[in-house]
Amino acid sequence: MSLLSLRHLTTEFYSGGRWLEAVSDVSFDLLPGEILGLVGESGCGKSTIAYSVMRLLASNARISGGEVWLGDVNLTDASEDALQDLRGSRLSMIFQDPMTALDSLFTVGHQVIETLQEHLALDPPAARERALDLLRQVGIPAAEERLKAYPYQFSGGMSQRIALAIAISCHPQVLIADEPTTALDVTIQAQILHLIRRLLVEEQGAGVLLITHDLGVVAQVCDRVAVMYAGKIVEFGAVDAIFRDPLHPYTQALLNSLPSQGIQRGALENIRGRVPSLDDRPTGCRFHPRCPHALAICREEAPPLLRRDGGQEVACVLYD
Amino acid sequence: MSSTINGAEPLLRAVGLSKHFPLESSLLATLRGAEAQTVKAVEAVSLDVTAGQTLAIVGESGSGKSTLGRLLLRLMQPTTGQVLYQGNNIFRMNRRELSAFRRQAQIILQDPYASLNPRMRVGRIIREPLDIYREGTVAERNKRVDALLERVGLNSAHARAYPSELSGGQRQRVGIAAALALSPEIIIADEPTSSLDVSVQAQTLNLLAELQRDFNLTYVFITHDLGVVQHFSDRVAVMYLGKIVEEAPTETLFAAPQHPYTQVLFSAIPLPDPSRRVNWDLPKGEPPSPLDPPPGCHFHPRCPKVMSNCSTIAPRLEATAPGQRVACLLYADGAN
Amino acid sequence: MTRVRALLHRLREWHAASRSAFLGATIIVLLALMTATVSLYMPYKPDAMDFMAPLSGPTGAHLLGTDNFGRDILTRVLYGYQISLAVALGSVGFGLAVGVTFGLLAGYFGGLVDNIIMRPMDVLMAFPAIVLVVALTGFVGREIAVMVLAVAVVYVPIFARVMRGSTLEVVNELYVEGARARGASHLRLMLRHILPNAIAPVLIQASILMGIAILLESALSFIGLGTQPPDPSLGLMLSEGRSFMQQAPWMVVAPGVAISLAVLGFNLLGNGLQDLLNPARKRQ
Repeated sequence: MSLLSLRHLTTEFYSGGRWLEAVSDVSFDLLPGEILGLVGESGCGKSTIAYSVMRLLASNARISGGEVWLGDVNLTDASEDALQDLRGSRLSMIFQDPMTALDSLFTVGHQVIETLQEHLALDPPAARERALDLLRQVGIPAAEERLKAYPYQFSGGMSQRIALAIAISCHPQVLIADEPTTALDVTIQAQILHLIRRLLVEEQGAGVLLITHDLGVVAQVCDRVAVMYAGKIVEFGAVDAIFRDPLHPYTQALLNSLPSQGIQRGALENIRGRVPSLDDRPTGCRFHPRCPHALAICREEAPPLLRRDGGQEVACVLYD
Repeated sequence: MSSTINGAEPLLRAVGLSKHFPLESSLLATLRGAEAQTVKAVEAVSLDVTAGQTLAIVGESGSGKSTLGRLLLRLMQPTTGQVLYQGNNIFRMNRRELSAFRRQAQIILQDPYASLNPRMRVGRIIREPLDIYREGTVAERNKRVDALLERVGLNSAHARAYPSELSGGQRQRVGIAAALALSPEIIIADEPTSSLDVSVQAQTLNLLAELQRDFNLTYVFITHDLGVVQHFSDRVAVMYLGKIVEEAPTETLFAAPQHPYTQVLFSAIPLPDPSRRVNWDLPKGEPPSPLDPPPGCHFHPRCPKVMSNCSTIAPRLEATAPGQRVACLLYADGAN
Repeated sequence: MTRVRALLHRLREWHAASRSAFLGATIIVLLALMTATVSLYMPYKPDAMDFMAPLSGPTGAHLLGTDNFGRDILTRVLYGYQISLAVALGSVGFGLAVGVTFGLLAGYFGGLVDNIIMRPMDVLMAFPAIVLVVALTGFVGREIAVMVLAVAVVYVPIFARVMRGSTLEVVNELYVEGARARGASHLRLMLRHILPNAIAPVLIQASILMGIAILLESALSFIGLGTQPPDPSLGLMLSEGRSFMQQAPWMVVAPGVAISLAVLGFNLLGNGLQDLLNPARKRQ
């Protein structure tokens, strides 16, 4: 029943003469009609997952293990032609910098219409009608005129709306959104996130994999969340449960380190040390050198991600 | 410079401060006699910064908050208005006075990747202010650098590193140490934590709070992060398109924001609490271009409480409660 | 011992980072060493004539043969490099010093200062280089120093323009603003913060202009405006060899190859530096 299924995905980067794991043995399912958050600090591997799924990894990276299924298609061994057909139709992506998706040499209208013609086989007038409709849906005023504008004439928020319009134009089953609102102002962020939920999830029943470092965004728009640390999922489950009762010490520390409303002054809890680099990952549980509850066994054994009573899954020996 | 400051007198005060950037107009436009366009980045801003406190300046991109921060340090000249530091207009200061002012007013910049000279070792970066003002002997300066590194949670070994060898959080600590080197009175921090990961952000904010306590520092915090604002500041000024729309003590503002923009802004923040959902529908439209701001109240095209005269009358910032000022016709005298 | 190992490690890193720069630098260093120490290992003086063997082909005694006066060509080529490198170093050094100063001032202060400095540079740049050099050497004299100065005059606006461009980029960097807020003087901002961060493109240009200076020196000497006989200059040797091309082709081949080798070295270095100092690469 899942739209997108990751099975033991492992992705490596080539650096300094050897292959280093950026993503280690990650498995999860994206269900129809849900927004699944992938949250973690920089370097935790969350964007690498997105690029692995899209098969858009840089030349110094490779998927070294596991599988990614989009319905009944195994993306990890699909041909480049097959992938090209899937991207932009069943599988779409939007990026932190919306300009990535837009070609500065062509008008916005040209790009939206071209996508529609290519993937939906619409004739030009119908494609144009549909494009106008899409632009209105994503909240672009004076859509008729805006079709003739070039990407540089748009603000960051407007460009992200266009990118979203292109991404949803062919009714994708899965949208991967990589920090889609990080570069935007909060009022615009709220609008874009709302659009994603309404247009994709509620109206089309698609699944969205939302990659973000912002726990506020996760709390507000995601249904389930995977918390990542150093290439692994450390906790996974329903947003409500995890924010109410975080189990993994890393999730707890992350939530406590937020300067948030209601807690004024006083020192924020912080996590000692810093995220280990790719070539310097600790043995056992990768969080153990920074963990306030670390036990001797944490140094030796990597705890598996297991379901607990509360319903969420957590990778920590404290709950064994 | 007078060392006896009246307790009521603010340490730093902006009076009617404006900064307009002229836009390069095309030759053709100039020939046609078109008037040169200007961006009014900061418009008629007045505010006080009380010694030992933290004033947060909040706004979205294009609000002019960073320009305001630079004006407060005389890193650019204003179009009109003045900035008084301990009662002296910083734009009228001569070389010697300005140099004394620069010692006491420091800046911490946003992006720790761009704000440190990549070709200078960390020790030299922190020592530079001491070199500029020829504080003590070189040996004494180096000792001070070690002490500063220690104070911000690094160690003397870091002095020999280049910025590229440090993490983002460590770099921001270096920036903080350099700002502290001359024992300033006031530090203007422009988005000091916005490019850091949350756990590192928490470490940095804790450090800034400790330093404020230890050295009785005055902060001006320029930020778009309202979580940071509420955690950190005593007073908040909210800017929209170059103007202050509301200014109040932090608690008052967060308990009952009055300006519709402040309300919209607050309601759009994604709280890390799934049980308190954001109101998605409140913010309407995109912020207008600062090149061509709407007439009257700049916020009126997006305002959920817009009235008929909002497009013609530009509201003035007026006191609505002790310590609270709002620029909105809803609260103006005579409004019902 | 550890020093040596560290140095070797550095060299290997450079080699890995840019083979082109490494190869170019190796050629230049070898040529410079060979020409600097030539009197120690070559048995001949550059102007010593062997009357027994004029126009001799390559032999055991004269590896690259001799010219019409019986002078050893290898010896003369190696001495010729001294003049070539001296002209290249002198002109680039002088052009660099003046051009970088002008470009830094123009880019940093902008406005009127920019106009006062850069407009004359534009005029200077509009003259064809070779015409300018010919005119200067023709009027002032045919000393090496004049040649150096003439090439330098051509180079100043080139360096100034490149430096101005990269200064304009660096001057807006946050760390420059930060230093200004700390009270750094104009001089400190320019020398400590802008110069070290803006100089890379100028150094790439310098390497390429070194090669061109060697060509210019040869060209001037070839047409009789540069080095005068009997001094050994590569360009002059080419010119002298022209009349004997049929009987003694080595008289032109040797200096020709020598010029190409040096120019190749500098161009390889320049291209390699471009890769190494490219900011897009550095960010990775």
